Amino acid sequence: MNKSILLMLSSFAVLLCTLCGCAAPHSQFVLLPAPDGHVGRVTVTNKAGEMPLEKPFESVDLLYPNELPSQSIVLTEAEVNSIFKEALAALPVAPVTYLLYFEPGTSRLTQESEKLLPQIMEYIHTNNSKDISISGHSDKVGSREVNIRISRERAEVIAQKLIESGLPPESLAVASHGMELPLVDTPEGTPEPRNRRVELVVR
Amino acid sequence: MNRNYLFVLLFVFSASWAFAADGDAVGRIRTVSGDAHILRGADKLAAKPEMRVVRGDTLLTGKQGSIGIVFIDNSTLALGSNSIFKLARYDFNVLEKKAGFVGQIRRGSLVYLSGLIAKMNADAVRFETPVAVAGIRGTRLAIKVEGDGNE
Repeated sequence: MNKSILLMLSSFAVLLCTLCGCAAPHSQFVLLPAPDGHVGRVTVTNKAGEMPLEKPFESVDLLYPNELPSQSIVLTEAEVNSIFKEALAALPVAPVTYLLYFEPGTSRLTQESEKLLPQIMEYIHTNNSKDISISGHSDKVGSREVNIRISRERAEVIAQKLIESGLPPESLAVASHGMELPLVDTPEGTPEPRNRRVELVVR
Repeated sequence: MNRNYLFVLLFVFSASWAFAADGDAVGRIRTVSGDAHILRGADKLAAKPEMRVVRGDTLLTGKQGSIGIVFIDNSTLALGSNSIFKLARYDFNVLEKKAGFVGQIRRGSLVYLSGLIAKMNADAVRFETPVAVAGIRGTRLAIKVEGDGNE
């Protein structure tokens, strides 16, 4: 008799659990502004339809694949920071891209770009980045071969400066693209300061 | 100019990563705390910073565990504790104009900040949970899934 009571109780517990959804994989979606403040758009879809999220910290909570709440709610930033504390703390810093410009036909930095270097070095060292790509580029003055060489020298000059500042060479990936990937498309033979550059991506 | 610039960036990223990374790596682990693993085929690898992530990997975190990843399109992803997340699809090839990201979260919490894949193709980034799918356009998204993680 004890046994049957136990059985009854346990099946009741299972039923209760199913009814109240405590084992259901309830899912909460929250739209967050990007670090630069930009707010994009998220569309949450299931068998019952779709729900757009467009406002900062707008959120929708779903219990079942075939049910959609009639409306979303807007959380406070503090609520979001508390619910997603662990993941927000673990989110790596997004990669940053720097552009450095050069004098025509040389691997000599322009004055403005030279002035940027200390700031870039400081950023790299502060973030302890060990994954940096350095790509050299040129404008379309001169031959393909010459430009491959010039853009390689540009990348190497920057790599050398980073190594001298204490970065291990194995954290750098150096590439030379010559005139093949202009930022601003021009006819051959056109001098274009914005294409005479090194792109530095710090991850 | 903006379009051009994006294209160049995309190209540079794919080119330099093909150069720097071995095999099919599509991202790297940058932060780990507590108990965190990668399930890759039959292997269960303890997650460590700088470890590479490939498509098809399942990421697991335990109690007080967390993990943060930077992908080759510059998107970033982090998981909180007790999470199960599978990188079901990851395509980022500028020359072939292929861009797609599908993540499946069965349990736990995540935060995702979109990158170049979302810029290349506005409908390319998707997150799936047991009860719904979220499509994301150029922004940051947080998801929490409660449950036992079983299907």
